[in-house]
Amino acid sequence: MLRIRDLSAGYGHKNVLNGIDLDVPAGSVVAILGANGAGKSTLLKAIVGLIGRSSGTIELDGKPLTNESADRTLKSGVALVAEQRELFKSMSVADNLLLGGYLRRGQADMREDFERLLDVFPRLRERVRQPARTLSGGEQQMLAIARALMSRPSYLLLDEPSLGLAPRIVEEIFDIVRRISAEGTSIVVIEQNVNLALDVAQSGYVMETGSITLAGTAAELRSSDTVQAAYL
Amino acid sequence: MLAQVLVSSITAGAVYALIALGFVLIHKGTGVVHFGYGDQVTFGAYLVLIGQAFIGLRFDVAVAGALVASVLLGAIIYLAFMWPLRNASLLARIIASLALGTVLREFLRSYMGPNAWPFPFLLSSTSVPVGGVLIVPANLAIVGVAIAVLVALYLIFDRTIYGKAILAACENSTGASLVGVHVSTVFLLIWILASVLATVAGILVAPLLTLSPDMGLIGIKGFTAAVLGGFNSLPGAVAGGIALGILEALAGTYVSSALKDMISYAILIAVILVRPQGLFGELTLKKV
Repeated sequence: MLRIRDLSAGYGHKNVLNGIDLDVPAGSVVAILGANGAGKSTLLKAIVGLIGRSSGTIELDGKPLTNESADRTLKSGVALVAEQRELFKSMSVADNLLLGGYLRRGQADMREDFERLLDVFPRLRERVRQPARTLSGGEQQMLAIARALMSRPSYLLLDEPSLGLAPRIVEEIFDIVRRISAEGTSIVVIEQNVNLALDVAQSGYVMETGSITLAGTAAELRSSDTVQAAYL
Repeated sequence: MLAQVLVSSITAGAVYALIALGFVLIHKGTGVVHFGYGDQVTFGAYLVLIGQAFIGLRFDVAVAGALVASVLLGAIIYLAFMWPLRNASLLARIIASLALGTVLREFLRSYMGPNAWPFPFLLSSTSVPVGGVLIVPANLAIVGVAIAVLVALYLIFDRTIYGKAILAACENSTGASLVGVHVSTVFLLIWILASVLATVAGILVAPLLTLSPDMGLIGIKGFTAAVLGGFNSLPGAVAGGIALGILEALAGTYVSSALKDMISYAILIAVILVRPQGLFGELTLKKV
């Protein structure tokens, strides 16, 4: 379980998140919904340590999660696929993936994972020697997800995986999200496409101006008047 | 004649390539143009001199000691100056690098004196005719060491996960952090590596120029080579160094040896005006 209590965080002296309480049960998919500027991306960045928190606690499986830096959070098993993807664009698909396994360097099964992920993402296998900057938007998103999976995270945070992508590619990516979830990885997905998010998630939260305003199962959120009026 | 010029130019080109590589490494990793780098090159050579002439060490032991000391120097520069200034303006960090160079230079002037010191060649400095061209064994040693260092760096960056992690952190520090690379450690390693490169370059160039506190002006040649090759490209730095060595030698032979330095700086200005990203660098467009 990833448990967040009373989390406040922001940029400089300005808090963007105010007292967030959120639970991500192990093995589940949790959707975070909300309009632009609600603080969704800030929440994920605060969890992994890309920004500091001003108050609150984050626990991972009962132990405090230090979020001093993203590399330390990844050691604890929480990986972020950022909205901007943050790929190494001059480096090849292969090198991006290998770097995704940086914390597992030297482990015998890393090569197995590399091949397995190229099977999961066959478009990446076709372009394995190409620099990441030559990939299409959808392929770059797949590479960002595959790279994060190389570290075998127990929690995968996805920030707007469908942003700017064609519907067919979005479908492909969310099929992969379902497959990753079925294999046991817990997932937090931020998505503006509410239908898509609630299709894949078991539960969710709605954020507005840095606070959680609604929480419930996917079915409850889908049938909520508030969600229907604002997003569906 | 042309063959002789080209052979002779490779020595200078190899040293310029090493210095350019140091500039580019630091800039790629931390965004700083280390204008005191030439003075670090001088300081590295003086470390060998101090070990040999004042402590009485054998030359090879003095070199080893100087390399160890340069690791410490690189770490001190990063931890005491560049890390605390990491969020300061670019101007503040440039001034800090200039000040650092001045401190090193004036320290040497105060304690070692303003006069030049002879510095041993690695091999004989007597030229030997080979196929109609005069080869100087000492210059071959300089080129050999420079090539060995450059090949080692290439293998580290291209073939090892640690080298790729350094390049990744240089390209995208957020992305590197997200894959588990401890970025501040990478930046520390970059400053240490650049410091060691400076000492190697100093040891190679000091016999050619004679060692004095003002030998750091060689840094401008390395800077020019980095600009020529592309300030964000490691292979560009090497190519720029070799190219500058050749252009300088050709200009010195066929135009005027007295104007050799002026021609080098003219190349710097021309590159900045016509192709600021250099031969192999990528143009970065920034929205303001």
